[in-house]
Amino acid sequence: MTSDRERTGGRAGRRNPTWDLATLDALRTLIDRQIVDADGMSLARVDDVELELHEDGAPTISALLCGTLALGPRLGGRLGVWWSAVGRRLRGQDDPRPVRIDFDHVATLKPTELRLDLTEPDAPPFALRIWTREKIVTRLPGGTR
Amino acid sequence: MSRVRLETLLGAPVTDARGEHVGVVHDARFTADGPPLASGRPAYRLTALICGPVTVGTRLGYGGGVHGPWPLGHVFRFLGRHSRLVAWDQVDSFDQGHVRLNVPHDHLKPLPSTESKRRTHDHDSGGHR
Repeated sequence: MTSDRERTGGRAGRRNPTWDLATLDALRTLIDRQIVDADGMSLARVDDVELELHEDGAPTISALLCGTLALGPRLGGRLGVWWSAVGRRLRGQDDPRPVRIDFDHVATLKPTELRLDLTEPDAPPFALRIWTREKIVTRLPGGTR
Repeated sequence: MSRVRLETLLGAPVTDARGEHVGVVHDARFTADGPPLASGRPAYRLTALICGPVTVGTRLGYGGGVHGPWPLGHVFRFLGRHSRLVAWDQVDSFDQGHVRLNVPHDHLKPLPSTESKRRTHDHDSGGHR
Protein backbone atom coordinates (compact mmCIF):
# COMPACT_ATOMS: atom_id res chain seq x y z
CA MET A 1 0.00 0.00 0.00
CA THR A 2 1.31 3.43 -0.90
CA SER A 3 1.72 5.95 1.86
CA ASP A 4 0.10 9.38 1.61
CA ARG A 5 3.52 11.01 1.44
CA GLU A 6 4.54 8.88 -1.52
CA ARG A 7 1.29 9.41 -3.39
CA THR A 8 1.48 13.17 -3.00
CA GLY A 9 5.05 13.50 -4.15
CA GLY A 10 7.00 14.16 -0.98
CA ARG A 11 10.51 12.83 -1.08
CA ALA A 12 9.23 10.54 -3.82
CA GLY A 13 9.43 13.62 -6.06
CA ARG A 14 13.17 13.58 -5.49
CA ARG A 15 13.51 10.15 -7.04
CA ASN A 16 12.14 11.65 -10.25
CA PRO A 17 14.43 14.60 -10.94
CA THR A 18 12.06 16.63 -13.09
CA TRP A 19 9.46 19.35 -12.77
CA ASP A 20 5.96 19.26 -14.23
CA LEU A 21 6.45 22.73 -15.68
CA ALA A 22 9.37 23.25 -18.05
CA THR A 23 8.75 27.01 -18.08
CA LEU A 24 6.95 29.28 -15.65
CA ASP A 25 6.14 32.96 -15.31
CA ALA A 26 6.74 33.91 -11.68
CA LEU A 27 3.89 36.35 -11.22
CA ARG A 28 1.35 34.13 -12.92
CA THR A 29 2.46 30.75 -11.59
CA LEU A 30 4.05 31.37 -8.19
CA ILE A 31 3.10 34.68 -6.61
CA ASP A 32 -0.08 34.55 -4.48
CA ARG A 33 -0.29 30.79 -5.03
CA GLN A 34 -1.51 28.73 -2.08
CA ILE A 35 1.16 26.45 -0.62
CA VAL A 36 0.01 23.13 0.82
CA ASP A 37 2.07 20.75 2.91
CA ALA A 38 2.67 17.08 2.14
CA ASP A 39 -0.67 16.17 3.76
CA GLY A 40 -2.58 18.72 1.68
CA MET A 41 -3.02 21.19 4.55
CA SER A 42 -2.86 24.79 3.52
CA LEU A 43 0.23 26.56 4.91
CA ALA A 44 0.57 30.01 3.37
CA ARG A 45 0.64 31.94 0.15
CA VAL A 46 3.72 32.76 -1.87
CA ASP A 47 4.33 36.46 -1.27
CA ASP A 48 7.70 36.77 -2.96
CA VAL A 49 10.42 34.68 -4.55
CA GLU A 50 14.10 34.70 -3.62
CA LEU A 51 16.59 34.61 -6.48
CA GLU A 52 20.18 33.48 -6.22
CA LEU A 53 22.61 35.50 -8.32
CA HIS A 54 25.39 33.64 -10.13
CA GLU A 55 28.51 35.32 -11.47
CA ASP A 56 28.57 33.17 -14.58
CA GLY A 57 24.91 32.83 -15.41
CA ALA A 58 21.33 33.95 -14.96
CA PRO A 59 19.71 34.09 -11.50
CA THR A 60 17.88 31.00 -10.31
CA ILE A 61 14.96 30.54 -7.93
CA SER A 62 16.29 29.58 -4.51
CA ALA A 63 13.31 29.98 -2.18
CA LEU A 64 9.70 30.98 -1.71
CA LEU A 65 9.12 33.83 0.74
CA CYS A 66 5.93 34.09 2.74
CA GLY A 67 4.34 36.08 5.50
CA THR A 68 3.87 39.70 6.40
CA LEU A 69 7.56 40.57 5.97
CA ALA A 70 7.48 39.27 2.40
CA LEU A 71 4.18 40.89 1.47
CA GLY A 72 4.90 44.32 3.01
CA PRO A 73 7.51 45.49 0.47
CA ARG A 74 5.30 44.23 -2.37
CA LEU A 75 2.36 46.32 -1.15
CA GLY A 76 4.52 49.42 -1.01
CA GLY A 77 3.57 52.80 0.45
CA ARG A 78 2.32 53.33 3.99
CA LEU A 79 0.30 50.13 3.97
CA GLY A 80 3.43 48.14 3.09
CA VAL A 81 5.46 49.84 5.85
CA TRP A 82 2.70 49.23 8.39
CA TRP A 83 2.27 45.59 7.30
CA SER A 84 6.03 44.97 7.56
CA ALA A 85 6.02 46.55 11.04
CA VAL A 86 3.30 44.10 12.10
CA GLY A 87 5.46 41.27 10.77
CA ARG A 88 8.56 42.50 12.62
CA ARG A 89 6.56 42.79 15.84
CA LEU A 90 5.30 39.24 15.50
CA ARG A 91 8.65 37.70 14.59
CA GLY A 92 10.70 39.75 17.03
CA GLN A 93 13.28 42.43 16.29
CA ASP A 94 16.13 39.95 16.18
CA ASP A 95 14.73 38.11 13.18
CA PRO A 96 13.19 40.61 10.74
CA ARG A 97 13.23 38.20 7.80
CA PRO A 98 10.29 36.69 5.95
CA VAL A 99 9.48 33.00 6.24
CA ARG A 100 11.76 31.24 3.78
CA ILE A 101 10.94 27.89 2.20
CA ASP A 102 13.81 26.38 0.26
CA PHE A 103 12.67 25.75 -3.30
CA ASP A 104 14.01 22.23 -3.14
CA HIS A 105 11.19 21.43 -0.68
CA VAL A 106 8.65 21.93 -3.48
CA ALA A 107 7.47 18.44 -4.33
CA THR A 108 4.75 19.26 -6.85
CA LEU A 109 4.59 22.37 -8.96
CA LYS A 110 1.65 22.56 -11.33
CA PRO A 111 -0.52 25.46 -12.48
CA THR A 112 -3.13 24.28 -9.95
CA GLU A 113 -0.96 23.00 -7.13
CA LEU A 114 2.11 23.95 -5.13
CA ARG A 115 2.82 21.16 -2.67
CA LEU A 116 5.79 20.81 -0.36
CA ASP A 117 7.48 17.63 0.82
CA LEU A 118 7.20 18.92 4.42
CA THR A 119 4.36 18.55 6.89
CA GLU A 120 3.28 21.55 8.95
CA PRO A 121 5.38 20.75 12.08
CA ASP A 122 8.52 20.57 9.91
CA ALA A 123 7.73 23.73 7.92
CA PRO A 124 9.15 27.10 9.00
CA PRO A 125 6.96 28.79 11.67
CA PHE A 126 4.45 31.35 10.43
CA ALA A 127 4.26 34.00 13.15
CA LEU A 128 0.91 35.49 12.15
CA ARG A 129 -0.65 32.04 11.88
CA ILE A 130 0.68 31.01 15.32
CA TRP A 131 -0.42 34.31 16.89
CA THR A 132 -3.91 34.00 15.37
CA ARG A 133 -4.22 30.41 16.57
CA GLU A 134 -3.02 31.17 20.11
CA LYS A 135 -4.78 34.48 20.68
CA ILE A 136 -8.01 34.09 18.73
CA VAL A 137 -8.87 30.63 17.46
CA THR A 138 -8.20 28.67 20.64
CA ARG A 139 -10.31 31.17 22.65
CA LEU A 140 -13.36 30.64 20.46
CA PRO A 141 -15.91 28.05 21.57
CA GLY A 142 -14.77 24.78 19.98
CA GLY A 143 -11.49 26.38 18.88
CA THR A 144 -9.32 23.81 20.66
CA ARG A 145 -10.79 20.82 18.86
CA MET B 1 26.62 34.20 -4.07
CA SER B 2 24.15 36.91 -3.18
CA ARG B 3 20.39 36.77 -3.15
CA VAL B 4 17.74 39.25 -4.20
CA ARG B 5 13.99 39.30 -4.03
CA LEU B 6 11.89 39.14 -7.17
CA GLU B 7 9.89 42.08 -5.84
CA THR B 8 12.91 44.35 -6.54
CA LEU B 9 12.76 43.34 -10.21
CA LEU B 10 9.01 43.50 -10.81
CA GLY B 11 7.94 47.02 -11.71
CA ALA B 12 11.53 48.11 -12.35
CA PRO B 13 11.88 50.58 -15.28
CA VAL B 14 13.64 49.25 -18.38
CA THR B 15 15.74 51.32 -20.78
CA ASP B 16 17.30 50.09 -24.01
CA ALA B 17 20.86 50.52 -25.30
CA ARG B 18 19.97 53.98 -26.66
CA GLY B 19 18.61 55.06 -23.29
CA GLU B 20 14.99 54.99 -24.47
CA HIS B 21 12.32 53.90 -22.04
CA VAL B 22 10.91 50.45 -22.94
CA GLY B 23 8.48 50.07 -20.06
CA VAL B 24 8.55 48.27 -16.75
CA VAL B 25 9.13 44.63 -15.84
CA HIS B 26 5.74 42.86 -15.68
CA ASP B 27 6.88 39.35 -15.04
CA ALA B 28 9.91 37.06 -15.09
CA ARG B 29 10.04 33.85 -17.10
CA PHE B 30 12.01 30.88 -15.75
CA THR B 31 13.06 27.66 -17.43
CA ALA B 32 13.91 24.45 -15.59
CA ASP B 33 17.42 24.06 -16.95
CA GLY B 34 19.58 25.69 -14.27
CA PRO B 35 22.27 24.11 -12.11
CA PRO B 36 20.96 21.05 -10.24
CA LEU B 37 19.51 21.47 -6.76
CA ALA B 38 20.37 19.12 -3.90
CA SER B 39 17.50 16.86 -4.99
CA GLY B 40 19.01 16.52 -8.47
CA ARG B 41 16.24 18.49 -10.13
CA PRO B 42 17.33 21.47 -12.23
CA ALA B 43 16.89 24.93 -10.72
CA TYR B 44 14.54 27.34 -12.46
CA ARG B 45 16.78 29.77 -14.35
CA LEU B 46 15.68 33.29 -15.26
CA THR B 47 15.54 33.26 -19.06
CA ALA B 48 13.49 36.32 -19.92
CA LEU B 49 11.74 39.38 -18.58
CA ILE B 50 8.31 40.40 -19.82
CA CYS B 51 8.35 44.17 -20.20
CA GLY B 52 6.01 46.80 -21.47
CA PRO B 53 4.31 50.07 -20.77
CA VAL B 54 0.94 48.71 -19.57
CA THR B 55 0.79 46.12 -16.78
CA VAL B 56 -2.88 45.54 -16.04
CA GLY B 57 -3.47 42.92 -18.77
CA THR B 58 -0.37 40.95 -17.80
CA ARG B 59 -1.41 40.99 -14.14
CA LEU B 60 -4.71 39.42 -15.16
CA GLY B 61 -3.02 36.76 -17.28
CA TYR B 62 -3.51 38.29 -20.74
CA GLY B 63 -0.37 37.89 -22.79
CA GLY B 64 -0.02 34.51 -21.17
CA GLY B 65 -2.60 31.76 -21.37
CA VAL B 66 -5.75 33.87 -20.90
CA HIS B 67 -7.68 34.93 -24.02
CA GLY B 68 -11.30 35.48 -23.01
CA PRO B 69 -13.92 36.71 -22.53
CA TRP B 70 -13.50 38.13 -26.01
CA PRO B 71 -14.17 41.86 -25.38
CA LEU B 72 -11.64 41.93 -22.55
CA GLY B 73 -9.21 39.77 -24.50
CA HIS B 74 -9.24 42.27 -27.37
CA VAL B 75 -8.89 45.26 -25.04
CA PHE B 76 -5.96 43.80 -23.10
CA ARG B 77 -4.23 42.51 -26.23
CA PHE B 78 -4.51 46.01 -27.67
CA LEU B 79 -3.17 47.59 -24.48
CA GLY B 80 -0.37 45.04 -24.32
CA ARG B 81 0.65 45.27 -27.98
CA HIS B 82 3.90 46.98 -27.00
CA SER B 83 4.86 44.31 -24.45
CA ARG B 84 8.17 42.66 -25.22
CA LEU B 85 10.07 39.56 -24.20
CA VAL B 86 13.59 40.47 -23.12
CA ALA B 87 15.98 37.51 -23.13
CA TRP B 88 18.31 37.50 -20.12
CA ASP B 89 21.37 37.88 -22.38
CA GLN B 90 19.88 41.16 -23.64
CA VAL B 91 20.05 42.56 -20.10
CA ASP B 92 23.18 44.64 -19.62
CA SER B 93 22.73 45.46 -15.96
CA PHE B 94 20.24 45.55 -13.13
CA ASP B 95 21.07 47.93 -10.34
CA GLN B 96 19.28 50.39 -8.10
CA GLY B 97 15.95 49.06 -9.31
CA HIS B 98 16.67 49.85 -12.97
CA VAL B 99 17.12 47.40 -15.84
CA ARG B 100 19.40 48.46 -18.69
CA LEU B 101 19.47 46.52 -21.96
CA ASN B 102 22.36 46.01 -24.37
CA VAL B 103 20.13 46.16 -27.46
CA PRO B 104 17.81 48.79 -28.92
CA HIS B 105 14.12 48.23 -28.21
CA ASP B 106 13.31 47.34 -31.85
CA HIS B 107 15.48 44.21 -31.43
CA LEU B 108 13.16 42.87 -28.74
CA LYS B 109 10.65 40.13 -29.52
CA PRO B 110 6.93 40.66 -28.97
CA LEU B 111 5.28 38.27 -26.53
CA PRO B 112 4.77 34.94 -28.36
CA SER B 113 1.04 34.74 -27.63
CA THR B 114 0.50 38.27 -28.97
CA GLU B 115 2.55 37.38 -32.04
CA SER B 116 0.72 34.12 -32.72
CA LYS B 117 -2.65 35.80 -32.19
CA ARG B 118 -1.66 38.53 -34.65
CA ARG B 119 -0.48 35.96 -37.19
CA THR B 120 -3.78 34.07 -36.90
CA HIS B 121 -5.65 37.34 -37.28
CA ASP B 122 -3.58 38.33 -40.35
CA HIS B 123 -4.09 34.89 -41.85
CA ASP B 124 -7.86 35.05 -41.24
CA SER B 125 -8.20 38.52 -42.71
CA GLY B 126 -6.08 37.41 -45.70
CA GLY B 127 -8.46 34.53 -46.28
CA HIS B 128 -11.45 36.87 -46.55
CA ARG B 129 -9.88 38.99 -49.23
